[in-house]
Amino acid sequence: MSGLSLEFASGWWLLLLALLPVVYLLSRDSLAGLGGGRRRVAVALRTISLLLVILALSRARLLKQSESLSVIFVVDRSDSIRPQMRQQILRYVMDEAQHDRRESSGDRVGVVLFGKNAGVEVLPDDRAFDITDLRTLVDTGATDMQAAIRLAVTAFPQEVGGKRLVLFTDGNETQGAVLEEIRNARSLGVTVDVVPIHSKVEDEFWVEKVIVDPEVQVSEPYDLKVVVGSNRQTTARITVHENGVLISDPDDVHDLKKGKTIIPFRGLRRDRPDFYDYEVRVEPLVKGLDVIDENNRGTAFVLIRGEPRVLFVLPGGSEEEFQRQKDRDRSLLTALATGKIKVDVVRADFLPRESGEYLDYDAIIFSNVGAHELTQEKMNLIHGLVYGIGTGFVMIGGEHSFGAGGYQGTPIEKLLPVDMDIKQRKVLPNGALAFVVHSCELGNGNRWARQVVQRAIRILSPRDYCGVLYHDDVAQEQWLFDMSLCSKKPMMLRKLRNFSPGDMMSFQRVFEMAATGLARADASIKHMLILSDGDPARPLPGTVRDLVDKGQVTISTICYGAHGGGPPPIMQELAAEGNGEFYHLKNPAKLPEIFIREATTIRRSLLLSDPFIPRLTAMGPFTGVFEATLASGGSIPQLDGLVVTSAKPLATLHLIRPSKEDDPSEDPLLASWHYGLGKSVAFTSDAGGSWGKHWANWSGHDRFWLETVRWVSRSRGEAPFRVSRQIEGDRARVIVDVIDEATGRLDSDLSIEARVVAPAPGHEITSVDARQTTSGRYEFEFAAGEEGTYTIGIQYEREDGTRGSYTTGLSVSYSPEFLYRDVNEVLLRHVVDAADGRYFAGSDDDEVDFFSRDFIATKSVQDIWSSLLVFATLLFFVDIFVRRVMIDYSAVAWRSMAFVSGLFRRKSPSGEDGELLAALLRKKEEVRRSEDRAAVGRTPSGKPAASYEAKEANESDRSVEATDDAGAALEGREGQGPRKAESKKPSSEEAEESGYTGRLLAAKRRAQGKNEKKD
Amino acid sequence: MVAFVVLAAGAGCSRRSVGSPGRAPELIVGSVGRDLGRFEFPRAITVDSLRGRFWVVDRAGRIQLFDTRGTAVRVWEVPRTENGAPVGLHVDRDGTLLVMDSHYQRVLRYPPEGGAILGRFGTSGKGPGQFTFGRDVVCDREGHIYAGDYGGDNDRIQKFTSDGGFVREWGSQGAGPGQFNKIQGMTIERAEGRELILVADQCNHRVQRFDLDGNFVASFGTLGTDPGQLRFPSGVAVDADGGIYVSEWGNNRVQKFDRDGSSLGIWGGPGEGPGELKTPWDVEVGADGRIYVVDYGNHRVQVFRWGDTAGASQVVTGGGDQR
Repeated sequence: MSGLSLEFASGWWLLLLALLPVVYLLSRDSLAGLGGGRRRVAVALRTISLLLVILALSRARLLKQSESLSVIFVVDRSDSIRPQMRQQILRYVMDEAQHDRRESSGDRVGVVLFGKNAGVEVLPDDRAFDITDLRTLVDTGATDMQAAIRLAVTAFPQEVGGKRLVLFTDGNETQGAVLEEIRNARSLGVTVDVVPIHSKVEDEFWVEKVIVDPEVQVSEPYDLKVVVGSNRQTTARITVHENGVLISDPDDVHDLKKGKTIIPFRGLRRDRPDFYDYEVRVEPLVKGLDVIDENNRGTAFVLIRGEPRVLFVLPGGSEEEFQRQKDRDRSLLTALATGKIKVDVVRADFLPRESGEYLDYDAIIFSNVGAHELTQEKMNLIHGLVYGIGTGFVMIGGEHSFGAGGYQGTPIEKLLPVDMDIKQRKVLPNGALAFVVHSCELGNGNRWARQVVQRAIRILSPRDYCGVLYHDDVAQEQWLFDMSLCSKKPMMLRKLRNFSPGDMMSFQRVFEMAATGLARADASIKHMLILSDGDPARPLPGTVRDLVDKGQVTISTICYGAHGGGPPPIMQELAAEGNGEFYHLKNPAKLPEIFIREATTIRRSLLLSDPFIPRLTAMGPFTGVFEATLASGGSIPQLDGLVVTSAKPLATLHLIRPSKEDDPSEDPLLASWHYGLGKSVAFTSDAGGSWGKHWANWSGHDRFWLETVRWVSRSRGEAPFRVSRQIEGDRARVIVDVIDEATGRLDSDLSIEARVVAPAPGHEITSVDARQTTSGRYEFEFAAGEEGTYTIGIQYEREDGTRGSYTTGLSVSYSPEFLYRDVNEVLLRHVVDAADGRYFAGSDDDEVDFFSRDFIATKSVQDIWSSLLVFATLLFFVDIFVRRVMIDYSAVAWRSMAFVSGLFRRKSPSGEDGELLAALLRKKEEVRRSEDRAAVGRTPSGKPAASYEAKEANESDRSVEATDDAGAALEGREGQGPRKAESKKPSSEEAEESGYTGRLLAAKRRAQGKNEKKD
Repeated sequence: MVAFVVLAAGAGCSRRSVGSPGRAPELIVGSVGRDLGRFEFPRAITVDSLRGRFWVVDRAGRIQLFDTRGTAVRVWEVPRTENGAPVGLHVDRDGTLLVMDSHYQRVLRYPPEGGAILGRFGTSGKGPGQFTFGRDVVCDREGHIYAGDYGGDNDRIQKFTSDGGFVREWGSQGAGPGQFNKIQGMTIERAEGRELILVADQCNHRVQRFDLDGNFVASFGTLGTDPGQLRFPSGVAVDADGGIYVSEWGNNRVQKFDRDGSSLGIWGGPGEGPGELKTPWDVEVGADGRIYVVDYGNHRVQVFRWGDTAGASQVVTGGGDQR
């Protein structure tokens, strides 16, 4: 089954082997004083020890070759493989693993699934398996064979002989570069077989693309062309929707020829600047005449630019809240209108999701909008727009803004010139939040619970306290982590990753524990948030009242997964008694919003309602009004409060709330900075609410806001570009022709920088290199495998230093996975060639045996140099032991027998057996002594045996005696004590020898003397 | 090595000290899964005392019928489970299976081997014949049905005729005699020719005894982990000799009491091994003295006999035909 061999990484050290005979000869002579047997052993040990050291130096490695085979089936689960085909492949794989594996050879089978990501479904194992219900979650939106191969290669066990991957795929790679990984796999001894998966269908048509000029002028006519592909001649209904409204004839039927058909919709014209989103749908007249639905849709957009525009975002949640805030901001909105800035006011919960819809906005203003009103996706998008394409951003304060609005740790905090964490204050009111999390039995309830608690904790400041209470799976109430400062967030988040709350019978104990934990927390605001289905029994009377009255704790409850019949009253009652909010949820998607809103309850400590006169600390492009006011002897009007933040190191702090006698801290009021390609401004007081009412009536109010919004807005200017975009598979290519305005020719004196913001949900920002391909023509590419709108920001700078920007976008209608494509045989053949594999095309001639033995057995390598060194060291000590210590086996035997006889005596002190044994022992001892005497001074080879003499000189009750080496080493200590030899009379010289070492020395001298005499 | 052995021994000792060690069960039925014979958090059990077969309902809303050897022979699902699954089962003297479909505020009747629902009664509410969150259901010799309810101050037991007609109700939310704080398992106790109802009063950590008209008779148990004490009792059952078995959700064990409520012993302890339990939700006793424990957190049913010494357990995870 397996073979072993040795390999040397630094083989030249083996030259030292030539020393072995020398060492052998030297040792033989130097150890001549030992008895023949012991000398041979000592020499052998020394030689072996040296040999091991040399092998270790040459970095010896053990090579194991096994004949077992590991086969990992790497199965494509991407959308380009039809669902029924995916199931067939899994069944096939299970069958192979069960029936074709050579059990006698120890073959193992594993399964890796892949799409956009890859996961190991079954680690290579020698047992059959069932993968009917898959455990691995694979994103089916892309095909990344490289990631799959990389993962599969790492999944092979080390000790196998053959490593084979069998790739089931259509080869339509939309991410990664599989051939790069194949080379790596091959270098590790892995071969790759390929089974091509044909998903081609008989009846299929698809939207190839929608062509429209993405940017037109107001009232300028434009055409929209739909390119439809079909694999047969057919007819289909084609409709066009503009911003969700049908604008074509719903019964419009078109003939499609085999191949591509272009269907134009002519004469579109719009008189209002806006973002026009088009969606084209192609549907079969008879169901079944088209198989893949996903590719029957195409999107495009047209942007009709108008005056500079600003998106003014107000709190959503309810219409009343929206209107209330709109009234507060009335003077600001009026100021912008009078300054000819076009403002679109929108509720936070209605913010557009697609980046394309922001293209015509030069700035986004948030007025008192809390983080709980935004999804992570929208925050990512806004961050991307500011950083990537230069959209301006202003945050205006209020009770739901900045840190009090839960922006700590969010992408919005990143782009602002202020931090939500407070650094300038020594004493800052903080909060404590205790979560009680009850197992949610419905629809991934526990997963939701984990996620929302994590999100809520992320927005807490390091000075806040937090703890999580739950019932574990053996019914014990537990703190997942006790009330702790959120400076330990990494620990908290780590523990939450595997958090799995169990069922809870009663709230009593967790209320008691929360009361104790919250009492310990040194916080000014204490809050408790309970997530439960409302099933646990209510706490004992008085428990809640004590917590609220004595503990100064507020309680909110979220009822999710209630067991039918409406929310249990207990949840409402607890919230009412705890002066908190009650939420009844049927849709868990609302949980994050509520958790963030509730977590910000304890962040209200950041609201500072205290009148102050702002102080100008730094001038800037929009602080002229303050400078003018101060220069004319006036003063900046009073504000009655703000949200406490701290300025970021690179930000410019224009206005602050100055320190006071009772409050030495200075807090930012107005700060700005450049962030990526955009700019952002933080105004931490409000714009006309309870804090800013004096400002609203101030004569400089309008000028201040107009200058601020103009400064922060993205600069427009006529971009001297002609931009064209193309999508090829999963890549987008953008060509920018720069036209010299004066000459009308291509201009190569520009430097261009481009950034791309990806579609939802990630909205990742990518910087792309634009290279000049010919004079005045710049090109760049980026991956466009996601469905949705890619926003492209292009910045340019002329040689004279003038700058400008241009934004555009590009729509991807559907994932490239749904493109109508057959197997990419060319690529798959390359894979097979590069990996010495086989291509099973499905022909009758193919002998499909994934477990055939025609593999090149790989060898597992094991470094053994360290083990060799350990052995050499051990042998070294054994060598010393052999040379310096002699075991008197007869004495050992005698004492053993004496011990045994003693035992017997104790057992039968006067018995015959005991006497008999004692007699035998006595007789044996006599024989041994006579033999010893006869052997004194003689060895089998006739040479003197110093050790025997030493033994004799030292009385025979010692079982272990030192030998000549020890004596030689101790020559310098002669004469340190009397000699104790009994069998021989001591000479005068010997008399000077002392004790143990002296006796050894004497024995050696006697042996040497005899030798000399003999010679 | 020595240190490792010492540590391992120490760990073993500390684990044992958490709860009483469980003797090996005679039979372990099921493991996690949705195949026939497997469970996804089994919640309630009932045993046919004549034929020894038993039914188990799990959190997926699947009711499975097992033969005496623990082999699943039938499986079916209740009509709806979006709100949650049934939490109580009882097989009456005619072999009809009563299912407390708690999350839909009704009692369902099934033939013993599943199939079409024979009948149902109960609606949502707090009035007579209505349920907030029904917990368990049992029948007396005469065919009366008793159903426990919980939720929204609606802790009570309702008595029905065999066809679901409301007869009477008793109990309220509280900790006094005859009051309840979350009714869980119930069973009928037959002693000296009369029938009584035992109720696991879960969050009062006690078992209460009533006559069939709802008059309070006695109770036993206080909160704790010592013998004789209870922590969140979840199920209750009585053997032929009058021994009372209580499954304790919070102590992960089954405790046996005499009729007076004196503890006679403990079986189980927290863990995942044979004889160990993870939040047991129900207990039943067969006519042959076998005790069935619904080991909820371990996705199985453990079957043992009181007084058994440790021995090899038989593990059954498969089943027969499926419908």
